[in-house]
Amino acid sequence: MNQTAWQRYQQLPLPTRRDVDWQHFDLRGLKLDNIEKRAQPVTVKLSGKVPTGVIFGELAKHRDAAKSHLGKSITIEERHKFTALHDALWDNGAILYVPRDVRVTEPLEVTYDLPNHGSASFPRTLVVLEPGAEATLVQKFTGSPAVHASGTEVFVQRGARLHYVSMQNFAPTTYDFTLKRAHVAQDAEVDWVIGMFGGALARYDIECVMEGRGGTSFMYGVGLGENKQQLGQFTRQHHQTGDTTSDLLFKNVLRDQAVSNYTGTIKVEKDSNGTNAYQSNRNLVLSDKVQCDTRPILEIESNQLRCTHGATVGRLDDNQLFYLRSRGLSLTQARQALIEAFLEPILARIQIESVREEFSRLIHAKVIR
Amino acid sequence: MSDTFEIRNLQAKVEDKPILKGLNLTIRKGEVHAIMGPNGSGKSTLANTILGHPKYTVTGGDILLKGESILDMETDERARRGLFLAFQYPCEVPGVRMSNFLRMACSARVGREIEVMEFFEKLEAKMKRLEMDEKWVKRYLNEGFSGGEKKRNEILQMMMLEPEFAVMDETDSGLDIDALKIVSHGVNELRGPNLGILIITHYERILRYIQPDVIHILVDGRIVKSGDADLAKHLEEHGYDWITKEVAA
Repeated sequence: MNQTAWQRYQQLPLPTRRDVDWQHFDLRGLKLDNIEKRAQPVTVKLSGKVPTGVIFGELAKHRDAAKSHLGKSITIEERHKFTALHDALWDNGAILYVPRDVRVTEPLEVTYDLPNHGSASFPRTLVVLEPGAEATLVQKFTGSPAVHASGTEVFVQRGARLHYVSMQNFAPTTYDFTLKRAHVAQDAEVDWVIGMFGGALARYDIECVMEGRGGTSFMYGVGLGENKQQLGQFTRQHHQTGDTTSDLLFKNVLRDQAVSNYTGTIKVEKDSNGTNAYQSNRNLVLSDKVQCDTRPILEIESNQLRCTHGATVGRLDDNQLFYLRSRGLSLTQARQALIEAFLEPILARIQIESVREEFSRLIHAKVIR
Repeated sequence: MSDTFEIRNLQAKVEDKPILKGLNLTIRKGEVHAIMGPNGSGKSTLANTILGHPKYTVTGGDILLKGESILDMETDERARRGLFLAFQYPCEVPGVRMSNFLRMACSARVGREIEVMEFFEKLEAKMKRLEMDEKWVKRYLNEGFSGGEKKRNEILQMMMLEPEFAVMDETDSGLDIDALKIVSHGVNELRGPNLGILIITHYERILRYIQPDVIHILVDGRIVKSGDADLAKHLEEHGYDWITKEVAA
């Protein structure tokens, strides 16, 4: 156990509805008693062809390789109770380390098959791409732990490129708290697609820190909520340097009594002229009982930049439905076509066909019924 | 009975405003009818009511397709039974690919899954007739199409779905003369003993290219006059004023 982090976890209060970030969420089902004793060892399944020199394995077995970057992003300064919890109790996870100028052409995949009811799991993932390196990483979280708090630290160094697809499909009883943070260096690119499908509550903090000129990040995400699922997406496009670009699109489809809260922060620091930051959150609501909130936060301290943000909460379009049905498509077919169409821009970002199909299957199973 | 489309004393409203006030019309397969009327006479209401748009409520009368009332049928069932509406303003559906959509629609129409090869062979042939670039099928349905492209796309769908009765709502609006010729050519090719067509239009222009068998004049929700092609010419020369006055008198 990391004692400092554990102390911080114990000091930080449990969020309540008075906390603006938590006002929409119901945490009464979250049981944290004896959490440190319920932590189960994390096992990972890895697949993909690993070129010479590339490290792709269990974090616990590659401590030396991890040393230079591990804990450099997720630190004791974290403000969230559940990040501190993760930091205190994590013991294993996965590492991808790609040396300078090495291009990993085939996708690498890591699956965290997490333990069952009552238990807790705290996987850590570290991704480092040295200058000029390229890789595609797929991360999948499944299982039914009562509590899951994970952290992913990503470092994309000068001129490196990472395509990164991450999805979770936990059981409907899991409370999932996830932090993912990418540091993007000069001329580097990170291209994320995130899928949030399962859990009783899933709160994701997804951040890109733009640290070098010419850096680009694409952050795309899809969230599906059914029954009483609670979905939280807290994104942060942090431009520490100018001449950087971040492009973000998160789309959610919500039905039944699902709850969703998107909060997107764009932070542009002083002397970061030439920043391009785009943020868009679109929500498709399929029932009257859905609660959906979306909130942009702009913290901008430079003058010369381009920044746009937009959010919508909408229903299926009656005229589009009528048009499709006037050609013989049943109501179910027409709805299905429109929901798929709504999510198409996210799925189109996934460069691996099998993963795109898996997203598609989950979308069908959850919201197209 | 099996080859007619019949509207009987149809009354319909939008929100609480009565628009159609007892409209009668019978079209047999093989015939082309045109309904002309001034703005606000109920032309678009008629088109949308025939396909059961949820915004329009039928308050009286009946619509019979081959002798059977369609008023209790959902829009998609009306379509599968052979009714077609070429929209005045076809809507854009970003994210839905033309080819996927059309294949679904054609499969729904014939009641079986149409093979990919069979579908594309037919599609290519029809597109060639309409002088459409094959890139169109990969585009999203009507997204970013010009007004003329959207109208051509409506005719393409009509060719693919092979309806028994088609309603064409202001198909000529927004078309330049070249596009109008292409579209009219397409419609004329479809003309034949298996199809009845109802052209709804404000202007006589399209009727120079698609010659109707019967022309009706719609004023204030009723057909007030029916006649042959000369009626259209008369309207083109004298406008609608004389007929509205005649009706008022």
